[in-house]
Amino acid sequence: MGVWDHVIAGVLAVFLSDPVLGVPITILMVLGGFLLGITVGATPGLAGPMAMAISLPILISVFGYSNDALLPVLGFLIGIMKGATIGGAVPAILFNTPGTPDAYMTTLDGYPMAQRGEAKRALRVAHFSSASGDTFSDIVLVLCAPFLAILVESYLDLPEKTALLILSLAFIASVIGNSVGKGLISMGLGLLAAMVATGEDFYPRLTLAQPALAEGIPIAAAILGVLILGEVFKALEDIHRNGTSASGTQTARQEAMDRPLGLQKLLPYIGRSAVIGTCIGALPGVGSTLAATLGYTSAKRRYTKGKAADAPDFGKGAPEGIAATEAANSSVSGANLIPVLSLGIGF
Amino acid sequence: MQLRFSPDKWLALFFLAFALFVIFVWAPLDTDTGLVEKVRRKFVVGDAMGPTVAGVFIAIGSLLVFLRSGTAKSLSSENVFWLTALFGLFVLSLVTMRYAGPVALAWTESGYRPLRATAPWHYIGFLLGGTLLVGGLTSLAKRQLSMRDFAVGFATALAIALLYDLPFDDLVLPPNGDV
Repeated sequence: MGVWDHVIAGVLAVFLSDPVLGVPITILMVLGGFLLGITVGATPGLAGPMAMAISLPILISVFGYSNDALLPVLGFLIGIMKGATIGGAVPAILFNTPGTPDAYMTTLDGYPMAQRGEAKRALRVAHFSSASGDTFSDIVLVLCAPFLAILVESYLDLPEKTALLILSLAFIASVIGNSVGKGLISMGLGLLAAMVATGEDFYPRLTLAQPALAEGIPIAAAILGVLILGEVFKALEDIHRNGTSASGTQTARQEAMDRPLGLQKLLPYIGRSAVIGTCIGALPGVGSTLAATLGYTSAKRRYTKGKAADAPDFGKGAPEGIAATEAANSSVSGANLIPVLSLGIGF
Repeated sequence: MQLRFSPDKWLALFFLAFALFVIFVWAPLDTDTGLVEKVRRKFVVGDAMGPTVAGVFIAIGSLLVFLRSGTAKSLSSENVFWLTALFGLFVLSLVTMRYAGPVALAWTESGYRPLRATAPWHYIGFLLGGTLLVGGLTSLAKRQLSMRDFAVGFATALAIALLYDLPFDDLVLPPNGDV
Protein backbone atom coordinates (compact mmCIF):
# COMPACT_ATOMS: atom_id res chain seq x y z
CA MET A 1 0.00 0.00 0.00
CA GLY A 2 1.23 3.46 -0.82
CA VAL A 3 1.09 6.36 1.56
CA TRP A 4 -2.22 7.64 0.22
CA ASP A 5 -3.80 4.22 0.61
CA HIS A 6 -2.92 4.38 4.30
CA VAL A 7 -4.41 7.85 4.60
CA ILE A 8 -7.61 6.76 2.84
CA ALA A 9 -7.78 3.60 4.95
CA GLY A 10 -7.52 5.76 8.05
CA VAL A 11 -10.35 8.04 6.93
CA LEU A 12 -12.48 5.03 6.01
CA ALA A 13 -11.83 3.42 9.40
CA VAL A 14 -13.40 6.44 11.06
CA PHE A 15 -16.50 6.53 8.88
CA LEU A 16 -17.00 2.76 8.75
CA SER A 17 -16.68 2.13 12.49
CA ASP A 18 -19.56 0.32 14.19
CA PRO A 19 -22.69 2.42 13.84
CA VAL A 20 -24.71 3.38 16.90
CA LEU A 21 -28.18 4.70 15.96
CA GLY A 22 -26.99 4.84 12.35
CA VAL A 23 -24.00 7.10 13.05
CA PRO A 24 -20.45 5.68 13.22
CA ILE A 25 -19.40 5.43 16.86
CA THR A 26 -16.12 7.27 16.32
CA ILE A 27 -17.94 10.34 15.04
CA LEU A 28 -20.38 10.17 17.95
CA MET A 29 -17.49 9.98 20.39
CA VAL A 30 -15.71 12.94 18.77
CA LEU A 31 -18.93 14.93 19.06
CA GLY A 32 -19.41 13.90 22.69
CA GLY A 33 -15.83 14.79 23.55
CA PHE A 34 -16.16 18.11 21.76
CA LEU A 35 -19.28 19.08 23.71
CA LEU A 36 -17.68 18.00 26.99
CA GLY A 37 -14.55 19.93 26.02
CA ILE A 38 -16.48 23.14 25.39
CA THR A 39 -18.25 22.78 28.74
CA VAL A 40 -15.01 22.08 30.56
CA GLY A 41 -13.12 24.84 28.78
CA ALA A 42 -15.88 27.34 29.49
CA THR A 43 -15.79 26.57 33.22
CA PRO A 44 -13.04 28.55 34.91
CA GLY A 45 -10.82 26.26 36.94
CA LEU A 46 -11.39 23.17 34.82
CA ALA A 47 -9.10 22.58 31.87
CA GLY A 48 -8.81 20.22 28.93
CA PRO A 49 -5.99 18.02 30.24
CA MET A 50 -7.94 17.50 33.44
CA ALA A 51 -11.03 16.33 31.56
CA MET A 52 -8.88 14.10 29.35
CA ALA A 53 -7.25 12.56 32.42
CA ILE A 54 -10.62 11.89 34.06
CA SER A 55 -12.18 10.44 30.93
CA LEU A 56 -9.30 8.17 29.97
CA PRO A 57 -9.74 5.56 32.73
CA ILE A 58 -13.52 5.62 32.26
CA LEU A 59 -13.18 5.24 28.49
CA ILE A 60 -10.72 2.39 28.87
CA SER A 61 -13.00 0.59 31.30
CA VAL A 62 -15.86 0.96 28.82
CA PHE A 63 -14.04 0.16 25.58
CA GLY A 64 -11.09 -1.87 26.82
CA TYR A 65 -7.66 -2.01 25.19
CA SER A 66 -8.61 -3.72 21.93
CA ASN A 67 -7.90 -2.45 18.43
CA ASP A 68 -11.55 -1.43 17.97
CA ALA A 69 -11.32 0.74 21.04
CA LEU A 70 -8.55 2.92 19.65
CA LEU A 71 -10.60 5.16 17.39
CA PRO A 72 -13.55 5.95 19.71
CA VAL A 73 -11.27 6.59 22.70
CA LEU A 74 -8.80 8.70 20.74
CA GLY A 75 -11.68 10.54 19.06
CA PHE A 76 -13.24 11.43 22.40
CA LEU A 77 -9.94 12.72 23.77
CA ILE A 78 -9.23 14.80 20.67
CA GLY A 79 -12.77 16.17 20.85
CA ILE A 80 -12.16 17.30 24.44
CA MET A 81 -8.85 18.87 23.47
CA LYS A 82 -10.34 20.94 20.66
CA GLY A 83 -13.55 21.77 22.49
CA ALA A 84 -11.64 23.02 25.53
CA THR A 85 -9.64 25.45 23.42
CA ILE A 86 -12.79 26.90 21.89
CA GLY A 87 -14.63 26.93 25.21
CA GLY A 88 -11.74 28.67 26.96
CA ALA A 89 -12.63 31.89 25.17
CA VAL A 90 -16.12 32.08 26.70
CA PRO A 91 -15.25 32.94 30.34
CA ALA A 92 -12.27 34.96 29.09
CA ILE A 93 -14.61 37.26 27.20
CA LEU A 94 -17.55 37.30 29.59
CA PHE A 95 -15.92 37.22 33.02
CA ASN A 96 -12.30 38.28 32.41
CA THR A 97 -11.14 34.91 33.76
CA PRO A 98 -9.56 32.66 31.13
CA GLY A 99 -10.99 29.12 31.30
CA THR A 100 -7.71 27.76 29.97
CA PRO A 101 -4.24 29.31 30.35
CA ASP A 102 -3.87 29.88 26.61
CA ALA A 103 -7.00 32.05 26.55
CA TYR A 104 -5.37 34.65 28.79
CA MET A 105 -4.59 36.92 25.82
CA THR A 106 -8.23 36.73 24.80
CA THR A 107 -9.22 38.53 27.99
CA LEU A 108 -7.16 41.58 26.97
CA ASP A 109 -9.48 42.47 24.12
CA GLY A 110 -12.46 40.24 24.75
CA TYR A 111 -13.41 41.64 28.14
CA PRO A 112 -13.28 45.31 27.07
CA MET A 113 -15.50 44.37 24.12
CA ALA A 114 -17.95 42.64 26.47
CA GLN A 115 -17.99 45.71 28.70
CA ARG A 116 -18.80 47.83 25.67
CA GLY A 117 -21.78 45.55 25.12
CA GLU A 118 -20.26 43.64 22.22
CA ALA A 119 -19.92 40.29 23.98
CA LYS A 120 -21.82 38.44 21.29
CA ARG A 121 -19.62 39.81 18.53
CA ALA A 122 -16.48 39.01 20.54
CA LEU A 123 -17.66 35.43 21.04
CA ARG A 124 -18.44 35.03 17.35
CA VAL A 125 -15.02 36.36 16.38
CA ALA A 126 -13.39 34.00 18.88
CA HIS A 127 -15.27 30.96 17.65
CA PHE A 128 -14.76 31.74 13.98
CA SER A 129 -11.00 32.25 14.43
CA SER A 130 -10.72 29.21 16.65
CA ALA A 131 -12.44 26.95 14.14
CA SER A 132 -10.47 28.26 11.16
CA GLY A 133 -7.12 28.05 12.93
CA ASP A 134 -7.89 24.53 14.02
CA THR A 135 -9.02 23.41 10.57
CA PHE A 136 -5.86 24.79 9.02
CA SER A 137 -3.60 22.91 11.40
CA ASP A 138 -5.62 19.70 10.98
CA ILE A 139 -5.03 19.87 7.23
CA VAL A 140 -1.31 20.30 7.88
CA LEU A 141 -1.44 17.35 10.26
CA VAL A 142 -3.11 15.07 7.72
CA LEU A 143 -0.64 16.13 5.03
CA CYS A 144 2.52 15.91 7.16
CA ALA A 145 2.18 13.26 9.83
CA PRO A 146 1.98 10.13 7.61
CA PHE A 147 5.14 11.02 5.70
CA LEU A 148 7.02 11.90 8.85
CA ALA A 149 5.90 8.64 10.46
CA ILE A 150 7.04 6.61 7.47
CA LEU A 151 10.33 8.46 7.48
CA VAL A 152 10.78 7.64 11.15
CA GLU A 153 9.98 3.99 10.67
CA SER A 154 12.23 3.46 7.65
CA TYR A 155 15.31 5.45 8.59
CA LEU A 156 15.53 5.64 12.35
CA ASP A 157 17.29 2.95 14.33
CA LEU A 158 17.91 2.79 18.06
CA PRO A 159 20.57 5.55 18.24
CA GLU A 160 18.34 7.99 16.41
CA LYS A 161 15.37 7.07 18.56
CA THR A 162 17.50 7.66 21.65
CA ALA A 163 18.38 11.07 20.26
CA LEU A 164 14.66 11.77 19.82
CA LEU A 165 14.01 10.79 23.44
CA ILE A 166 16.78 13.10 24.61
CA LEU A 167 15.29 15.82 22.41
CA SER A 168 11.89 15.37 24.02
CA LEU A 169 13.50 15.52 27.48
CA ALA A 170 15.33 18.68 26.39
CA PHE A 171 11.98 20.28 25.62
CA ILE A 172 11.28 20.15 29.33
CA ALA A 173 13.55 23.19 29.45
CA SER A 174 10.97 25.15 27.51
CA VAL A 175 8.08 24.32 29.83
CA ILE A 176 10.06 24.60 33.06
CA GLY A 177 8.62 28.02 33.88
CA ASN A 178 9.97 30.61 36.29
CA SER A 179 11.92 28.49 38.71
CA VAL A 180 14.53 26.27 37.09
CA GLY A 181 15.23 24.57 40.38
CA LYS A 182 11.62 23.54 40.96
CA GLY A 183 11.40 22.38 37.35
CA LEU A 184 14.43 20.14 37.84
CA ILE A 185 12.98 18.75 41.06
CA SER A 186 9.70 17.90 39.30
CA MET A 187 11.59 16.31 36.42
CA GLY A 188 13.66 14.22 38.83
CA LEU A 189 10.52 13.08 40.65
CA GLY A 190 8.90 12.16 37.31
CA LEU A 191 11.96 10.18 36.25
CA LEU A 192 12.03 8.45 39.62
CA ALA A 193 8.34 7.52 39.35
CA ALA A 194 8.92 6.13 35.85
CA MET A 195 11.77 3.98 37.12
CA VAL A 196 9.79 2.05 39.70
CA ALA A 197 9.81 -1.63 38.66
CA THR A 198 11.07 -0.97 35.13
CA GLY A 199 14.68 -2.16 35.36
CA GLU A 200 16.49 -4.56 33.06
CA ASP A 201 17.05 -6.94 35.92
CA PHE A 202 14.71 -9.62 37.26
CA TYR A 203 14.60 -7.87 40.60
CA PRO A 204 11.83 -5.22 40.48
CA ARG A 205 13.72 -2.09 41.44
CA LEU A 206 12.56 0.58 43.91
CA THR A 207 9.39 -1.32 44.81
CA LEU A 208 10.12 -1.43 48.57
CA ALA A 209 9.10 -5.10 48.37
CA GLN A 210 5.47 -4.05 47.83
CA PRO A 211 3.63 -6.37 45.43
CA ALA A 212 1.32 -3.47 44.52
CA LEU A 213 4.28 -1.66 42.95
CA ALA A 214 5.64 -4.67 41.08
CA GLU A 215 3.98 -3.54 37.87
CA GLY A 216 5.22 0.01 38.25
CA ILE A 217 3.11 3.07 38.97
CA PRO A 218 0.01 2.97 36.72
CA ILE A 219 0.15 5.79 34.21
CA ALA A 220 -3.52 6.71 34.69
CA ALA A 221 -3.01 7.07 38.44
CA ALA A 222 0.08 9.19 37.89
CA ILE A 223 -1.67 11.52 35.42
CA LEU A 224 -4.74 11.84 37.64
CA GLY A 225 -2.61 12.53 40.67
CA VAL A 226 -0.32 15.10 39.13
CA LEU A 227 -2.78 16.99 36.95
CA ILE A 228 -5.96 16.88 38.97
CA LEU A 229 -4.91 16.72 42.58
CA GLY A 230 -2.42 19.53 42.03
CA GLU A 231 -5.17 21.77 40.70
CA VAL A 232 -7.53 20.71 43.49
CA PHE A 233 -5.01 21.46 46.24
CA LYS A 234 -4.18 24.83 44.75
CA ALA A 235 -7.85 25.78 44.48
CA LEU A 236 -8.49 24.57 48.06
CA GLU A 237 -5.65 26.65 49.46
CA ASP A 238 -6.79 29.72 47.50
CA ILE A 239 -10.28 29.38 48.95
CA HIS A 240 -8.86 28.77 52.42
CA ARG A 241 -6.73 31.90 52.16
CA ASN A 242 -9.19 34.28 50.51
CA GLY A 243 -12.31 33.26 52.38
CA THR A 244 -14.71 32.44 49.57
CA SER A 245 -14.14 31.64 45.93
CA ALA A 246 -13.57 34.50 43.55
CA SER A 247 -16.85 35.99 42.47
CA GLY A 248 -17.59 36.62 38.84
CA THR A 249 -17.24 40.13 37.50
CA GLN A 250 -20.21 42.11 36.38
CA THR A 251 -20.59 42.44 32.66
CA ALA A 252 -22.72 44.66 30.59
CA ARG A 253 -25.48 42.31 29.59
CA GLN A 254 -27.01 44.66 27.13
CA GLU A 255 -26.11 43.71 23.59
CA ALA A 256 -25.35 46.34 21.05
CA MET A 257 -27.06 45.82 17.74
CA ASP A 258 -25.64 42.98 15.73
CA ARG A 259 -22.70 44.40 13.89
CA PRO A 260 -21.22 42.40 11.05
CA LEU A 261 -18.06 40.47 11.89
CA GLY A 262 -15.88 42.30 9.40
CA LEU A 263 -14.29 39.12 8.13
CA GLN A 264 -12.06 40.67 5.46
CA LYS A 265 -10.30 42.69 8.14
CA LEU A 266 -9.86 39.68 10.42
CA LEU A 267 -8.72 37.08 7.89
CA PRO A 268 -5.07 38.23 7.56
CA TYR A 269 -4.69 38.07 11.34
CA ILE A 270 -6.29 34.65 11.51
CA GLY A 271 -4.05 33.37 8.71
CA ARG A 272 -0.82 34.59 10.28
CA SER A 273 -1.75 33.26 13.69
CA ALA A 274 -2.76 29.90 12.25
CA VAL A 275 0.66 29.51 10.62
CA ILE A 276 2.41 30.60 13.82
CA GLY A 277 0.32 28.22 15.93
CA THR A 278 0.87 25.30 13.57
CA CYS A 279 4.65 25.79 13.57
CA ILE A 280 4.74 26.06 17.36
CA GLY A 281 2.46 23.07 17.77
CA ALA A 282 4.67 20.88 15.58
CA LEU A 283 7.46 21.29 18.15
CA PRO A 284 6.95 18.78 20.93
CA GLY A 285 6.62 20.21 24.41
CA VAL A 286 5.92 23.81 23.44
CA GLY A 287 2.41 24.69 24.49
CA SER A 288 -0.44 26.69 23.08
CA THR A 289 0.15 29.52 25.56
CA LEU A 290 3.37 30.47 23.79
CA ALA A 291 1.60 30.29 20.42
CA ALA A 292 -1.17 32.57 21.69
CA THR A 293 1.38 35.08 22.98
CA LEU A 294 3.36 35.06 19.75
CA GLY A 295 0.22 35.35 17.62
CA TYR A 296 -1.04 38.24 19.72
CA THR A 297 2.21 40.21 19.73
CA SER A 298 2.82 39.79 16.02
CA ALA A 299 -0.74 40.88 15.30
CA LYS A 300 -0.33 43.85 17.62
CA ARG A 301 2.73 45.06 15.72
CA ARG A 302 0.93 44.77 12.42
CA TYR A 303 -2.24 46.34 13.76
CA THR A 304 -0.64 49.45 15.25
CA LYS A 305 1.10 50.16 11.91
CA GLY A 306 -2.01 50.39 9.78
CA LYS A 307 -4.71 51.31 12.29
CA ALA A 308 -7.64 53.52 11.47
CA ALA A 309 -7.89 56.56 13.72
CA ASP A 310 -11.17 55.62 15.38
CA ALA A 311 -10.45 51.90 15.83
CA PRO A 312 -9.84 50.70 19.40
CA ASP A 313 -6.25 49.93 20.43
CA PHE A 314 -4.99 46.43 21.09
CA GLY A 315 -5.82 45.63 24.67
CA LYS A 316 -8.76 48.04 24.61
CA GLY A 317 -11.20 45.79 22.77
CA ALA A 318 -9.95 45.19 19.24
CA PRO A 319 -11.60 42.15 17.62
CA GLU A 320 -8.33 41.55 15.75
CA GLY A 321 -6.68 40.74 19.09
CA ILE A 322 -9.24 38.04 19.85
CA ALA A 323 -8.95 36.64 16.33
CA ALA A 324 -5.15 36.48 16.48
CA THR A 325 -5.08 34.83 19.91
CA GLU A 326 -7.81 32.30 19.31
CA ALA A 327 -6.55 31.27 15.86
CA ALA A 328 -3.05 30.76 17.28
CA ASN A 329 -4.00 28.71 20.32
CA SER A 330 -6.47 26.56 18.40
CA SER A 331 -4.10 25.81 15.56
CA VAL A 332 -1.69 24.32 18.09
CA SER A 333 -4.03 21.47 18.92
CA GLY A 334 -3.92 19.88 15.48
CA ALA A 335 -0.22 20.35 14.88
CA ASN A 336 0.54 19.16 18.40
CA LEU A 337 -0.46 15.71 17.25
CA ILE A 338 2.26 15.66 14.56
CA PRO A 339 5.06 14.73 17.00
CA VAL A 340 2.65 12.63 19.07
CA LEU A 341 1.49 10.47 16.19
CA SER A 342 4.65 10.34 14.12
CA LEU A 343 7.49 10.46 16.64
CA GLY A 344 5.73 9.20 19.74
CA ILE A 345 6.64 12.29 21.77
CA GLY A 346 3.90 13.64 24.00
CA PHE A 347 3.34 17.31 24.64
CA MET B 1 18.34 31.16 67.30
CA GLN B 2 15.41 30.39 65.10
CA LEU B 3 15.97 29.69 61.44
CA ARG B 4 13.56 31.79 59.42
CA PHE B 5 13.66 30.36 55.96
CA SER B 6 11.17 31.09 53.22
CA PRO B 7 8.85 28.24 52.16
CA ASP B 8 11.01 27.76 49.04
CA LYS B 9 14.09 27.12 51.14
CA TRP B 10 12.26 24.60 53.30
CA LEU B 11 11.07 22.87 50.13
CA ALA B 12 14.65 22.82 48.86
CA LEU B 13 15.94 21.35 52.13
CA PHE B 14 13.24 18.69 52.10
CA PHE B 15 14.01 17.62 48.56
CA LEU B 16 17.76 17.74 49.15
CA ALA B 17 17.30 15.30 52.00
CA PHE B 18 15.03 13.18 49.82
CA ALA B 19 17.57 13.17 46.97
CA LEU B 20 20.38 12.11 49.30
CA PHE B 21 18.11 9.38 50.66
CA VAL B 22 17.38 8.17 47.10
CA ILE B 23 21.02 8.24 46.01
CA PHE B 24 22.64 6.71 49.08
CA VAL B 25 19.95 4.53 50.69
CA TRP B 26 16.96 3.73 48.51
CA ALA B 27 18.61 3.13 45.13
CA PRO B 28 21.52 1.00 46.42
CA LEU B 29 19.34 -1.10 48.74
CA ASP B 30 16.35 -1.59 46.47
CA THR B 31 18.11 -2.50 43.21
CA ASP B 32 19.97 -5.68 42.45
CA THR B 33 22.66 -4.41 40.09
CA GLY B 34 24.94 -1.47 40.74
CA LEU B 35 25.44 1.69 38.71
CA VAL B 36 27.27 -0.28 36.02
CA GLU B 37 27.90 -3.96 35.76
CA LYS B 38 30.18 -6.14 33.72
CA VAL B 39 28.41 -8.57 31.42
CA ARG B 40 30.64 -10.66 29.15
CA ARG B 41 33.58 -8.29 29.68
CA LYS B 42 31.48 -5.30 28.62
CA PHE B 43 30.28 -2.56 30.92
CA VAL B 44 26.51 -2.09 30.75
CA VAL B 45 24.22 0.24 32.64
CA GLY B 46 22.93 -1.29 35.85
CA ASP B 47 19.51 -0.87 37.41
CA ALA B 48 20.71 1.62 40.00
CA MET B 49 21.87 4.08 37.33
CA GLY B 50 18.45 5.53 36.45
CA PRO B 51 17.24 6.25 40.00
CA THR B 52 20.63 7.72 40.90
CA VAL B 53 20.49 10.07 37.90
CA ALA B 54 16.96 11.08 38.91
CA GLY B 55 18.20 11.66 42.46
CA VAL B 56 21.05 13.82 41.19
CA PHE B 57 18.56 15.91 39.19
CA ILE B 58 16.44 16.42 42.31
CA ALA B 59 19.54 17.37 44.31
CA ILE B 60 20.71 19.88 41.70
CA GLY B 61 17.21 21.34 41.50
CA SER B 62 16.91 21.74 45.25
CA LEU B 63 20.35 23.36 45.45
CA LEU B 64 19.27 25.86 42.78
CA VAL B 65 16.07 26.62 44.68
CA PHE B 66 17.98 26.97 47.95
CA LEU B 67 20.63 29.30 46.55
CA ARG B 68 18.14 31.51 44.77
CA SER B 69 17.24 34.55 46.82
CA GLY B 70 13.62 33.83 47.62
CA THR B 71 10.94 36.09 48.94
CA ALA B 72 11.50 37.60 52.36
CA LYS B 73 8.39 35.90 53.67
CA SER B 74 9.21 33.18 56.14
CA LEU B 75 7.24 30.03 56.65
CA SER B 76 4.29 30.99 58.83
CA SER B 77 2.60 28.80 61.38
CA GLU B 78 -0.51 29.01 59.23
CA ASN B 79 1.29 27.30 56.34
CA VAL B 80 2.43 24.52 58.64
CA PHE B 81 -1.05 24.15 60.14
CA TRP B 82 -2.58 23.93 56.66
CA LEU B 83 -0.15 21.22 55.54
CA THR B 84 -0.57 19.24 58.75
CA ALA B 85 -4.36 19.48 58.61
CA LEU B 86 -4.38 18.39 54.97
CA PHE B 87 -2.13 15.38 55.54
CA GLY B 88 -3.94 14.47 58.75
CA LEU B 89 -7.28 14.53 56.99
CA PHE B 90 -5.98 12.32 54.17
CA VAL B 91 -4.55 9.78 56.58
CA LEU B 92 -7.74 9.76 58.65
CA SER B 93 -10.01 9.33 55.60
CA LEU B 94 -7.88 6.61 54.04
CA VAL B 95 -7.66 4.69 57.32
CA THR B 96 -11.43 5.00 57.69
CA MET B 97 -11.93 3.82 54.12
CA ARG B 98 -9.66 0.84 54.66
CA TYR B 99 -10.82 -0.34 58.08
CA ALA B 100 -14.47 0.79 58.45
CA GLY B 101 -15.82 -2.32 56.71
CA PRO B 102 -13.80 -4.88 58.67
CA VAL B 103 -14.53 -3.08 61.95
CA ALA B 104 -18.26 -2.90 61.20
CA LEU B 105 -18.41 -6.64 60.59
CA ALA B 106 -15.95 -7.69 63.26
CA TRP B 107 -18.76 -9.09 65.43
CA THR B 108 -19.91 -11.57 62.76
CA GLU B 109 -18.46 -15.04 62.52
CA SER B 110 -17.15 -14.75 58.99
CA GLY B 111 -15.89 -11.19 59.17
CA TYR B 112 -15.73 -8.72 56.30
CA ARG B 113 -13.77 -10.65 53.70
CA PRO B 114 -16.51 -12.99 52.35
CA LEU B 115 -18.95 -10.06 52.13
CA ARG B 116 -16.62 -7.59 50.48
CA ALA B 117 -18.37 -7.84 47.11
CA THR B 118 -21.91 -7.88 48.50
CA ALA B 119 -24.21 -4.88 48.75
CA PRO B 120 -24.59 -3.04 51.04
CA TRP B 121 -21.48 -4.10 52.97
CA HIS B 122 -18.95 -3.24 50.30
CA TYR B 123 -20.05 0.39 50.33
CA ILE B 124 -19.25 0.95 54.02
CA GLY B 125 -15.58 1.86 53.72
CA PHE B 126 -15.89 3.87 50.51
CA LEU B 127 -18.88 5.90 51.69
CA LEU B 128 -17.55 6.66 55.18
CA GLY B 129 -14.04 7.47 53.98
CA GLY B 130 -15.31 9.48 50.99
CA THR B 131 -17.75 11.48 53.12
CA LEU B 132 -15.00 12.26 55.61
CA LEU B 133 -12.59 13.30 52.84
CA VAL B 134 -14.94 15.56 50.86
CA GLY B 135 -16.72 17.02 53.88
CA GLY B 136 -13.45 17.51 55.74
CA LEU B 137 -11.72 19.24 52.82
CA THR B 138 -14.68 21.56 52.31
CA SER B 139 -14.85 22.44 55.97
CA LEU B 140 -11.11 22.99 56.10
CA ALA B 141 -11.21 25.35 53.15
CA LYS B 142 -14.23 27.24 54.52
CA ARG B 143 -12.85 27.24 58.08
CA GLN B 144 -16.14 26.10 59.52
CA LEU B 145 -17.72 22.75 60.25
CA SER B 146 -21.19 22.25 58.86
CA MET B 147 -23.48 19.28 58.40
CA ARG B 148 -24.25 20.49 54.91
CA ASP B 149 -20.69 19.94 53.69
CA PHE B 150 -20.70 16.40 55.00
CA ALA B 151 -24.07 15.77 53.38
CA VAL B 152 -22.61 16.96 50.08
CA GLY B 153 -19.61 14.71 50.71
CA PHE B 154 -21.88 11.73 51.29
CA ALA B 155 -23.87 12.45 48.12
CA THR B 156 -20.64 12.75 46.11
CA ALA B 157 -19.20 9.52 47.47
CA LEU B 158 -22.48 7.73 46.81
CA ALA B 159 -22.68 9.06 43.26
CA ILE B 160 -19.11 7.97 42.48
CA ALA B 161 -19.65 4.58 44.07
CA LEU B 162 -22.81 3.98 42.02
CA LEU B 163 -21.18 5.33 38.84
CA TYR B 164 -18.44 2.73 39.03
CA ASP B 165 -20.28 -0.08 40.79
CA LEU B 166 -23.56 -0.39 38.90
CA PRO B 167 -22.42 -0.56 35.24
CA PHE B 168 -19.17 -2.49 35.68
CA ASP B 169 -19.37 -5.95 37.19
CA ASP B 170 -15.65 -6.60 37.31
CA LEU B 171 -14.65 -3.37 39.05
CA VAL B 172 -14.12 -3.56 42.79
CA LEU B 173 -14.65 -0.44 44.86
CA PRO B 174 -11.74 0.62 47.01
CA PRO B 175 -10.61 -0.68 49.45
CA ASN B 176 -12.13 -4.08 48.75
CA GLY B 177 -9.33 -5.25 46.47
CA ASP B 178 -6.89 -5.14 49.35
CA VAL B 179 -9.00 -6.32 52.28
